[in-house]
Amino acid sequence: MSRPADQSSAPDAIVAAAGARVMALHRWIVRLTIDPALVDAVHSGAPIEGLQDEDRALLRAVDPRAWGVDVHRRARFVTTVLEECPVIGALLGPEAIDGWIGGPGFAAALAPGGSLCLAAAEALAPAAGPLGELERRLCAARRPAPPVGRGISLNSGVDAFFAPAGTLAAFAAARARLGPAPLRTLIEDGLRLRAPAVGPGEEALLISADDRGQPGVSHGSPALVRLLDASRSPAPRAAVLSRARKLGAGSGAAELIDALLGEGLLCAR
Amino acid sequence: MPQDPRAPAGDFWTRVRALPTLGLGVSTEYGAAAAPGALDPRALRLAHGCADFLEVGVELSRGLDPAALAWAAEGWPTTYHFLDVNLDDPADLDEGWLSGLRALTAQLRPAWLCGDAGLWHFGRRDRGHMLLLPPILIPEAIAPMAAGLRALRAATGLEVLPENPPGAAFVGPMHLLDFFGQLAEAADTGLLIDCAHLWMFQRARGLHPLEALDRLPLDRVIELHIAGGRPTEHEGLDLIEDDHGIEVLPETWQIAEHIAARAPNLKAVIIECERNSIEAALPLYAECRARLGAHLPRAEAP
Repeated sequence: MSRPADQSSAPDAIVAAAGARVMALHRWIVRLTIDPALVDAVHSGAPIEGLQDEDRALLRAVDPRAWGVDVHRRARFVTTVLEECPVIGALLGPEAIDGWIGGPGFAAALAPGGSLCLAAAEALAPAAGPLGELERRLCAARRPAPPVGRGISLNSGVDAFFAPAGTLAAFAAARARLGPAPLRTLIEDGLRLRAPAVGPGEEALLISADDRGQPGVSHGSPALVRLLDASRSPAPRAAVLSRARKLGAGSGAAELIDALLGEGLLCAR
Repeated sequence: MPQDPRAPAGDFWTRVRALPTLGLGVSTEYGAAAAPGALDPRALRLAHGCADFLEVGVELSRGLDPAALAWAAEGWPTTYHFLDVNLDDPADLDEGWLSGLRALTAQLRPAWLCGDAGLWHFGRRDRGHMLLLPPILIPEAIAPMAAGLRALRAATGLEVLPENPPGAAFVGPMHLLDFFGQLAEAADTGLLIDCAHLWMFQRARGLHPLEALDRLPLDRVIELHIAGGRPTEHEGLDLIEDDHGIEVLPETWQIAEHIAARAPNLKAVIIECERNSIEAALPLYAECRARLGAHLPRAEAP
């Protein structure tokens, strides 16, 4: 029996480079299992950006029929996105999500640390208008990134922003139309929504965890939302107090910051 | 990454002597025992003497189900089969996942960890990301996966047995058994060979069921999986569906018998039939005992 080289002693950099190549190949493989057009391209010899010749040869050696054995995988990806982003689904239609999954933008979901739902929301929210943007922010809040740096900053899972006036009410109305089983409403009932008229003017919105630990959205005071929005990067307490005073907190700035820390809207490290 | 002070010391040949012989067991997945008509592992053991140990397969985010908890409460032997870690991705062995694993193993007290060495998810662990794809069968893919196996063993203090995954599309020119043999040596670990998965690979490549088994370091095989499968096709491509039913294909038995007769450190055999009734599964246990005979590992007395 042939014995392998002692790969346990391979330098870390070589192992890391090999791992990166393997993970990149896996990303191509996932795409091949859901994208017949990519299968055709790989096997036809058409140029494919980012696919090295050596890796392409490995993929071409596989019987192309084998990529599509799990015939429901792409549909499962679509329903996963629809379950979490039903308003975007209702505004753009499930076919828009399916199209994104079959396109090059899907690679963002496959990247290290990537998220299918968040990548879909980020790609599709602009076309879905203010309601899509609100749903994208909720999607992001469900996947809080651990804060980096020292100081006081917006807590993970919290968001504060301004949206066109009427956005929250229109979003709530859309969710009500989708009912308690949005996926069924979208797929079986075929519900489609038109983008509602919102604005003019703007409203201050705050996303934070509700009683069940899930992100919920509510109106906030414009001053509070400005302060939180300006606190995305960690800063020393003195700088945060100064910012709060400039935004109108006056002599109560210290109490306000302590209250926001206590409520979990800000965090200190 | 913090190391577990109980991490097994010495090389594999030293460590393997400390592993218990578990015998013939049954697998379960989260909620499997609660499915209508599915077997209850506890009843399989108590009433029929057919489950020397339980292999628990769950995603850490789901935790142990009542059937696994009931088994663990009895103090009966277990192994833990992971379903959510990409061994070749260092970032996947994050502290959050490891702390969840440590909490689970504290409850379950498994004899070892095992699981398919493939791609369990893309991106981060997130909703809809779970899948299972085989490893890329190129020599370059061995070192990253071996590093992950060593790291997981050090972090948990438990042996980690990589298993050959199922699949329809196998990428890379290496034979699956050459890959896993070299992986086991690079990680200095034992192996779990899933006989049904192996037949899927051999058939996909148009090979004999026993192809390349003569090149596998059979003294590293600690555990075997035996499961039912169903021949099927997709656009004219012949395939086997790994359905865990009660019809074990002849080639799967052939592989199991061949390995069991030549694996001196074989300590555990699992019949994967978790979603069938006890009545339907019992003949599989009888057939396994008959086919493997004296080569079937005998569970150590508690």
